Amino acid sequence: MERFELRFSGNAPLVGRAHVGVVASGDLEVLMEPANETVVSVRTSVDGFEKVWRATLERFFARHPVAARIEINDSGATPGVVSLRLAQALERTKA
Amino acid sequence: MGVRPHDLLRLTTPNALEAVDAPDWAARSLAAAPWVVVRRAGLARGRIAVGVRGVSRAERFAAVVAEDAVAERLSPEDLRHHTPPRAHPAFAAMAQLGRTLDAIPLHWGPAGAAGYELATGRPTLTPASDLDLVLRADGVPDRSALAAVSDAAARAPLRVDVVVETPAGAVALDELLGDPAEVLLRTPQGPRLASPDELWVAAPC
Repeated sequence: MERFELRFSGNAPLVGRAHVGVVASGDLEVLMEPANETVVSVRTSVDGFEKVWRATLERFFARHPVAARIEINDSGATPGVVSLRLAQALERTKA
Repeated sequence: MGVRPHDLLRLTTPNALEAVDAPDWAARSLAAAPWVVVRRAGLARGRIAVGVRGVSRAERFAAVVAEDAVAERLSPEDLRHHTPPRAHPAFAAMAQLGRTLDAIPLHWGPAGAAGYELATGRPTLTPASDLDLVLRADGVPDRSALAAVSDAAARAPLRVDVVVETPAGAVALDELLGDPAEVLLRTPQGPRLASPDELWVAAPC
């Protein structure tokens, strides 16, 4: 199990909050809420992948430069699944 | 030979793996137990997409093997009848949950570390391991049956992850029971978000 915090420069405000996903094998839970600065707290069951997380999140914030506080509880999701859940959470904040 | 995701395959030789950049641990793992797990991409043109397990959760390697390099195939349904090689909370939970699962009209069995240990006899479950179970739902399942499984899983002394295999792909049981507008569907073409209504409609060819 590993925890780390990653910071990104997002400034587009979020409208609402969202909670998507499940903590199940190969999946993750994403909590997203408005914030002044973009901080992502990752808690993952698989050690040694901080670089992959950073790259995956950088891709997301390059497309969606939101100012958000994001909490991730990961249970071994692939980058593809992580990207889907992040996009789903962002969509849900607009609902 | 038909293969499905989660099936464990015993290879005729540990060298059967087709990969150019296999890490050293993968060769060591196959030398100790020449078993691989079928990935969701499955079988295409005589090649099966498989994964190699290492010791830690970070040690997972995707490769392919030729169909004719497979000596034996064990599905989760086969493995639930195997006698556990040792005592572990995952096996105890599996036996306990079996009483609920056997009472509903869906096939089930272990996957993940528990399945691998039952197939290979090689100690794979750790004190931190979850129990991964596969539930086959070829038709629309009875919601109360699924809820009963989820309740029983929640009472287990360790984390139990149940994945529901539908004709369209796989979904986490807990997500399905949450009445979501969309679920994460794992398909042979990769994961996508899907409406729960799509799960029991056969995919177009």
